[in-house]
Amino acid sequence: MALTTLLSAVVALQAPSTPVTADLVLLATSPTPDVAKIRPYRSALVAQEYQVKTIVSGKNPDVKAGSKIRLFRWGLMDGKPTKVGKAKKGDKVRLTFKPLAGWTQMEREFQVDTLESDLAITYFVEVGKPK
Amino acid sequence: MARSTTNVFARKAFPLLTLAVAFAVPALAADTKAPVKGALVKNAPAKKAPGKKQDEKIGIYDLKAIRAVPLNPEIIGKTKKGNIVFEEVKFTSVPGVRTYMILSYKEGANKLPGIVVIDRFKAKPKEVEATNNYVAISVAPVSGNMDPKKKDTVGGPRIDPTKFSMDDHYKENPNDSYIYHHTVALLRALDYLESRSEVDLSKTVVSGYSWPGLMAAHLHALDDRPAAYVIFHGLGYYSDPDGMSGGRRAPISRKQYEMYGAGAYAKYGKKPMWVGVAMDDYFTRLDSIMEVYENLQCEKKFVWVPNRHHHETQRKELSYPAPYPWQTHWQMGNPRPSEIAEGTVAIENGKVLYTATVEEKEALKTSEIYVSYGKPGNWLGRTWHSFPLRKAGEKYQAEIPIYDAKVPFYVAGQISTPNGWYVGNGLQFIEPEKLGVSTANATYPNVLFDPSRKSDLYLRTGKSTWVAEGPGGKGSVILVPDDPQNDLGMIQFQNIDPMFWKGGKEISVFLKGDGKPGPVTAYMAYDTNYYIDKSVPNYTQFQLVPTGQVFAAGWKEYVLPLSKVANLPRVGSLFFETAGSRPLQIGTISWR
Repeated sequence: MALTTLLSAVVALQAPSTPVTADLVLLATSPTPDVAKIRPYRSALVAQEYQVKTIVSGKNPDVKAGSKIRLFRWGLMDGKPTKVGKAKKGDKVRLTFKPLAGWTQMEREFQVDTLESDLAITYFVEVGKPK
Repeated sequence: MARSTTNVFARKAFPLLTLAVAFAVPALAADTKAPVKGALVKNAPAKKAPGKKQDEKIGIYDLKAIRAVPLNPEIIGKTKKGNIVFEEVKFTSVPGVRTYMILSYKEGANKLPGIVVIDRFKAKPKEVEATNNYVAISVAPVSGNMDPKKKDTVGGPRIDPTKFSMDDHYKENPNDSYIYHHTVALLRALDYLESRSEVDLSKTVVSGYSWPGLMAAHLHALDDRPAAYVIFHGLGYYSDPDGMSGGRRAPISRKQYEMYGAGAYAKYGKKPMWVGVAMDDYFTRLDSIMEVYENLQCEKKFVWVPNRHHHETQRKELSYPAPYPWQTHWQMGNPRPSEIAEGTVAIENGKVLYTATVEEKEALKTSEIYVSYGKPGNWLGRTWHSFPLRKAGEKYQAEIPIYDAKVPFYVAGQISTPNGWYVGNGLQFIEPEKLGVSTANATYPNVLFDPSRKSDLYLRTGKSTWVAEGPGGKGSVILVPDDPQNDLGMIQFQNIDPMFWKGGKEISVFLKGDGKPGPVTAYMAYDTNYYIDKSVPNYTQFQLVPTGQVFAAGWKEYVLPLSKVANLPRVGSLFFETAGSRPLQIGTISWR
């Protein structure tokens, strides 16, 4: 198969993953870095662990009521901390997120993840700016 | 732990990283002999893999001494998710450091191509790559962790992700350095993988984005076993023999460059290298790129990204398929993509012409040259112009306008195809007077930004929405400064070359107010970074709409007097800031 044909076929298979919106309870969080300490980076994704309470919309096999998920959220944007750094264990939030795997741009961002490694938990990324 | 994964992969986005090989990877063999969990595994077989360097001393790496340390690999865990296996392995990378690694692959994998994704912190499972029939390898860099129960590397210098500066790792003693430790860990991971039937090292690609790219550049020098190396940005700093870079003190000393600089290692690697790089990158500066390019002795393909740092624009030079045409050519033997040969610059009939040959495997989408005027330096604030590279007989030619014969320039060619892949040739530094050019042959255009062209070449902010309505019938663009994927907080406009604005008095900017509260501010910055750092007074501020006033709805021309701009000859960028980082609608920008 010619390379062009091959790649065209591959492109046709690309489908953006559907976001999931769910009500969550914060279980653990990584710290938000100080922008002065991570220069030249100006933004950072911060890993947090949540328990899923209710799925509001969307579908993902790794997101079920009662399951644990990990979310990367923008803790630092344009050199300024967001409200993510103020989150406390037990906080209840409604968030919209997509899987990290395959979202190349987010996989490449500066990530702070001090949570204990757990291969069984799937990572997601909050869609948009933390509200 | 096994989990139900019905239809997991059907719903996931296909990975940009591995899309191109999804069809190219052979079917899995059924007779895998993977070691079992908990087994202590013997060292790699004695048979030397092709391309394995054994006894050389390359820079700070003494390969003989490194390999004298027994790996003592141990599989410490295996997790299954559907038919994907995440296998955790620990091995000794340097004395006192047990490196943690995760292998991700499909059950039954046998001699599959590999992808080493160099991670900045922690090792990560790579489900998407494994789903696409790769064996994905992720090695945890040193973190200073001392708890052997943690799924992390044990030992080595302490690295805190919340206090991670790139400049902190150019240590006098390599054993204190993240760069040394991570590179050796990656090298030893490949040594270990020689013993694993799941992966074919000769079809393995090593990839690093940004900071991890530096480790990829080092590994390229040390190891010719992988098929190719793919680096996004990540070549790091350069320091000349006097410790200078672009007329200023380099961010690292010459000794640090010789120990850790990508250019110092470039000559050693034999396997192909693909580099996609911003021409205004903070870390990978232009002099470093040129040094690496010149020193590489292997096949090399560079993709140039003008005026946008790491941010995305509609040009998408580094988005899918980015490296894959070349990566899959080197890795899988896919057909060789279109390419552009090195260019030459010469005077012909009073014109300065850039000439290059192009091997066209298909019709081209774009062919252009990028030109940046000005002496070496100002690496982060240089403006890159695009001029068309047109077919002229058997070759391609572009005319380079000379606005001032005393001003040198950098130039490189680049082509792209309808499928969206780009490839460039080598950058050159040209002094027109040395070519015999004594006078200008062009006048610098007054219009700096013409929205009717719908080109975001000079817009470092990512998301551009082109609108037909605008002053003078030229249309306009709406820019979003705080898009989370292009997070600058401000809008940056890059076509600022005041050295050519002979007799220029002011800049005119048309903005459309949104009827909401101000302020709206413009900044003209010299020695530019890719953002306005208000702790560094390298800019002149113009309050277009003061605090307390409304950004009146409708179009208005704003004038920035050049007489008030500090260090005008060195100014390289124009920034706009809106209250609350609101979107801004911009019409024509010009100087007069």
